[in-house]
Amino acid sequence: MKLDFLPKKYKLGLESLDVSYLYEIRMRTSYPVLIRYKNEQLYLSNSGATILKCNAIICKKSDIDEIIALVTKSSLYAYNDRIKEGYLTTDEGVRIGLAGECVCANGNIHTIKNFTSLNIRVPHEIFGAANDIFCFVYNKKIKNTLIISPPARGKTTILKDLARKIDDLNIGSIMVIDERAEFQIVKGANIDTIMYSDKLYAFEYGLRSLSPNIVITDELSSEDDWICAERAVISGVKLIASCHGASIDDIRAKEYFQNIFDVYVVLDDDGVPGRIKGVYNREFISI
Amino acid sequence: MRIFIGVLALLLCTIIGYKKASKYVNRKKFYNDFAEFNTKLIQEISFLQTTLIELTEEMDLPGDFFESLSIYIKTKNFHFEKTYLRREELNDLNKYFKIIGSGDKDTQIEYLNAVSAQLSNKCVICEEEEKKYRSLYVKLGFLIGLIALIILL
Repeated sequence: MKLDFLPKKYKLGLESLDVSYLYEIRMRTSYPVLIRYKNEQLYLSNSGATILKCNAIICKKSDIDEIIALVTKSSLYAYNDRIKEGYLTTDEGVRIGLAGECVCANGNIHTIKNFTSLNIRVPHEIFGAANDIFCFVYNKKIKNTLIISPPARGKTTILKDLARKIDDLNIGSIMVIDERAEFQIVKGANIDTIMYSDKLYAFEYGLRSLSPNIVITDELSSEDDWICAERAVISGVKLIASCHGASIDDIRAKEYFQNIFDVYVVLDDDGVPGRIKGVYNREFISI
Repeated sequence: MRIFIGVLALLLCTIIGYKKASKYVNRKKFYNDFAEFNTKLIQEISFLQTTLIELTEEMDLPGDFFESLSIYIKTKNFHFEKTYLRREELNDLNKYFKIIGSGDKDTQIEYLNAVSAQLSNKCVICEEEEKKYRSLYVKLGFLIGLIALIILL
């Protein structure tokens, strides 16, 4: 099971739930455990999901420590590069966001200690998640595509499905830049995955050594990410990426925005994750 | 009958001597294993960043140190039944098990290097103690047994 690292009482509470509708577990020390289940924010109790705060499981500091110890296999040093970036990823691709005390040295974050909150993002393998947008991404050839949505709206799930679909087409080599090990279960004859690397390194090293035809990457955020994306597109590689935002205007207003994509897919910020709100062409006209 | 009891006493005393001496043999092995693991852990953290579970499985050596470490990693319970370690040594061992794996690379290496220096010292002391007391206890046991045999005869 994907959530084997959870303490026993949490697993008991989840037993009566359909995990395929569970998107997020939020744990904050001394507060009730929250879950996002079937698009609703509920509390986790010993017997499942509840709207009653009084029945909720209260997160203890020891619960958080237990999870950290299990996920890091009691070897924090081996995971510190990820911890200082604020996350951990389990072997099964579950991403855990971390909050705690940042330890700084020479102006840089050295590590995070005394963890107080966890945000467990439960990934879903939805075969067909990209069905609705695939006709925009591929029409005799792959188009540079940017998927836009607020956090936890299904961008990564769609990108994973797109990777599988393009792999099935057998039209070229696909390089997946997987900074946070969320694509580790996506494999294929045409797929090369670079894990735990920042985009700057992955683009430079990957483009030179792996010669991909298509690059798939999650979450363009910093200036460097956008510069790398632009370079890749200029060099003739097809790029499929995602980015945080609620509308096409949000993206155009971004400081580092480059109009390098042929298609912009905006996902709905409400309701079922992965639902399309709008698709736009290079001129930002709805198509 | 007297000869039989005398020989029995000789054997018994020699065995007791061996038993007494084994404490020093075990201590020497324990601290050598401890130092070996500590050195290996420093190397692994510095370069490959192997996890503790992988490292203990990879080393998989017999001995009380590795046994107690494996139990601790799996259960997070400190458990050491043998009596050849002193109370403060047990406390230090418990502290070591708690600290390894609980911090980032730099702080772990700093701590492990400090332990390494202490362990080198400890290994030398254990080696000297083993050399000194092992033959002493065996000889003493044999001698007492021999005296018992002579008295009985």
